[in-house]
Amino acid sequence: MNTICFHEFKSLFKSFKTLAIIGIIFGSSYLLADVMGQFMQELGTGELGKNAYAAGLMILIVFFGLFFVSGLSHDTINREVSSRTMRFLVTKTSRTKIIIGKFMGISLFWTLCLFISFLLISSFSKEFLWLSFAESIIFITYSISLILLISVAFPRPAVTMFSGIILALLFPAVSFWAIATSNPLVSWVKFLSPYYYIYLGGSYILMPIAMTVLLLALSIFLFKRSDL
Amino acid sequence: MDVIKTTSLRKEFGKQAVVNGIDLTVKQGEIYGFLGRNGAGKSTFINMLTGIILPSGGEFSLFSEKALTPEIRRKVGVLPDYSTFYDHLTAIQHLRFFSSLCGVKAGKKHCLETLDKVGMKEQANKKVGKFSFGMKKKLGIAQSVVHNPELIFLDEPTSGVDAESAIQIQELIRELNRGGMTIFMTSHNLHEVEKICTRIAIMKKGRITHEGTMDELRKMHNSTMNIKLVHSPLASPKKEKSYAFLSKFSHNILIGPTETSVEVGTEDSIPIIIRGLSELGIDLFRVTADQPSLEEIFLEKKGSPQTADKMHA
Ligand SMILES: Nc1ncnc2c1ncn2[C@@H]1O[C@H](COP(=O)(O)OP(=O)(O)OP(=O)(O)O)[C@@H](O)[C@H]1O
Ligand SMILES: [Mg+2]
Repeated sequence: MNTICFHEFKSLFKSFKTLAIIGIIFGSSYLLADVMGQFMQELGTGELGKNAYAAGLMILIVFFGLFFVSGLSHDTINREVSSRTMRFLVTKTSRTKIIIGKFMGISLFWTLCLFISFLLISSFSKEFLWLSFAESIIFITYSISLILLISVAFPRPAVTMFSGIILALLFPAVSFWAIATSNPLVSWVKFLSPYYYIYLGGSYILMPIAMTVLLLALSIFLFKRSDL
Repeated sequence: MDVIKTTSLRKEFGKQAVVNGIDLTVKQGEIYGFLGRNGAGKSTFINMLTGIILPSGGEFSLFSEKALTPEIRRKVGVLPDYSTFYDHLTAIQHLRFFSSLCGVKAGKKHCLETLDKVGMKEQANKKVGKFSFGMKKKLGIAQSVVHNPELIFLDEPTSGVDAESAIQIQELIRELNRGGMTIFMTSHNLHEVEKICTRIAIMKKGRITHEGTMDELRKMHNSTMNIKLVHSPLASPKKEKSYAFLSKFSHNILIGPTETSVEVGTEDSIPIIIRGLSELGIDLFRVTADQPSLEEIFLEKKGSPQTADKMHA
């Protein structure tokens, strides 16, 4: 499992896309924290609280996190299945370990990436914003498990690239619509969305973690039943 | 001990039964050759036993264990029929990655030794993306044995490699087998299978049609042995006498002036024939016996090629 995890982690750095996304995230968290800092000085500090420094990054993660994760990892399983490197992996380790290892590898990458972003932000906020950091990790790991499921469910990388983009754009839009609307036909969707629980805050924040576990279990279930 | 055991193992793709109820047992220490034409279902069978695809029915066990537990995976090495490597990793990085996947820490020295066994030492630090087909095949064999398994599945280990490497691979297979490893392999090279396999199964349209050691296959094939005798020139009365004598053993006799061929059922008749002909005053200079090759059995040719039903004058 650890072997798969580190292999996945390392191979994420092999692509140009990764460097671009890291650049965007580091750059914007630094710039937006700076902007927020000046904004707060004009308003007089204290009103918004320290976490406001991370607001820029949080918005980026909430609206584009799924998009970034999908861009980097939409083909993490199906690429290896279609190129058949997966055949070597499954003869040496269990399918459950492959899924969990990949999940851990991608999560490790994002945890590191977000950790550095929050370090950059802390140069403005003067303290490490643990709560926002944890929230962003919860959201990102949810996104990873969702993208992993798609990568298991659709065998062709071209399909997941396309469906990943569509999902990444539609998912936040539909979720916010479901949260805002009183239309009962739409509003139930919010219970499936991590946005709702992040919006509710408090211990509801644990709901997306449970959903992550559920999505992972579903991926493992599907992966165990497929011919490679 | 039964290293591999399958009972009524089946695989269907849609409505097509590709593996159609296979019962097979492989014992420890065997080099088991699995033959069949393209599309017979050989690779599908291997892929089920190695966890690449799932059986549609029946069951199998490796080392008497029905599930592919981590322990079993560690004991098994696989060269799948079609697979690729990571282009950006070197040969040695692959071996280290793959062995650590099944929980074995293979050191650099051990990996180099393994590559050396398949003639790939010089390519150890080259990226696999630049490898030729044959080089990838050899790396495939190296990765199947790098974690010192007790059983290896080799799907066409020598197809696509040069003649010299093929011999090196055959030697490696024999050497590993001498060290106690059980080998289950497929090949389209019948000569190779005849040379190195201790047991053979022939598969046709998802079923096994023949199974056994080379000797057993010959018996099953109802096959005969062609004995060729080179002797002193035969004049007419001796010729008739020899024919009468040889007719006790065979219906297929071809008597020439200095060469005679007789088709017999078993090798037991050879010494009797030699003794009988000597008693008739015929000097024998050379006696050779041809057995049907695996090729003839595989292609289901009956009998040996040079037989005639009549006596030449
Ligand atoms: N994933 C698949 N989906 C559908 N049919 C398949 C699949 N894999 C194999 N087949 C079919 O199953 C049959 C057996 O294939 P298999 O690869 O097992 O043959 P084989 O005996 O290994 O042949 P070869 O000697 O060419 O390697 C073929 O008719 C093939 O088309
Ligand atoms: Mg095959």
